[in-house]
Amino acid sequence: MEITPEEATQALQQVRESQHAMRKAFTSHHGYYFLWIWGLSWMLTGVIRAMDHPRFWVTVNWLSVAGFVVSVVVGVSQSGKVRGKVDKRFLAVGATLLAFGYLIWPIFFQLFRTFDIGFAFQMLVWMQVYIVAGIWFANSLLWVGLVVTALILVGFLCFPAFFWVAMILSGATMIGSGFYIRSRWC
Amino acid sequence: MLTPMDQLDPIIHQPARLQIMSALVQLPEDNRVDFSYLKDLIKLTDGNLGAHLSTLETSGYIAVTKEFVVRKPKTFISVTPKGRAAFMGHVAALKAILLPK
Repeated sequence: MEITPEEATQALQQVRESQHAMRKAFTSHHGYYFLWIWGLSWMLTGVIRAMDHPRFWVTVNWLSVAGFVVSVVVGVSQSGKVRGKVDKRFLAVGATLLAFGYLIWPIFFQLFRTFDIGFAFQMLVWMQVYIVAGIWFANSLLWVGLVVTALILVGFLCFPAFFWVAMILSGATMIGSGFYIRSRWC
Repeated sequence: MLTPMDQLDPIIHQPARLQIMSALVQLPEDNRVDFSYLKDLIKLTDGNLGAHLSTLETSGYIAVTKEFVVRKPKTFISVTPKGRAAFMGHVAALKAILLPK
């Protein structure tokens, strides 16, 4: 087939535009929504914890339920548009980490005896999953996991009276990471 | 020796199919996109997109699968390794045409 240089330029322009459109559309399927949802949830938890109302944990529990429901809705709506290959081996690893994190270690070591210990532990369990996911898929979740883990450990061990600040900073880090991941794809 | 013109792929070069392939190769390997989602992105009608997808599928450039999502049947499209290679070759040929001789 024969085409002119003008037609070639036009075709390459079309390629660039379609690729940009797909890249932009694909950003909404790249998991950053979950970083925003849970980042916001953790920030609000930190704020509620700082208020120190006697029954603050009731509000925090509802906040977690709301985060879970929104995550499920976002997950279902995304799965209908772009689908990836499910890595069953990673799912098994993640499920094992969460099962030990939520069922075995807390019972064995009584890790939910205070709110701060329980919350710090729960955040660390999820960050462990993020770090493993980051190593497994070679993506930026590794750095999100490491930074948030460091924030939690410093907050919990060095400034226990102000652990709520670490919660807010961890949430802000999650939200910021979500924006970073989004910007890399747009 | 093949010239860049010889390396152009007439199946991919058609404007709508070029758009479809450009969009699909942007997805990571093993990812597939919903028919309606692709239709909105490329701005084609159901019939038009279906016809172009059929041509690309016959050439082995894309794979079309039917799946159920929340109990609703959906059509998903993904690019095959052969399609990815053909698209890369086509774009390389387009760029080569623009190179000064």
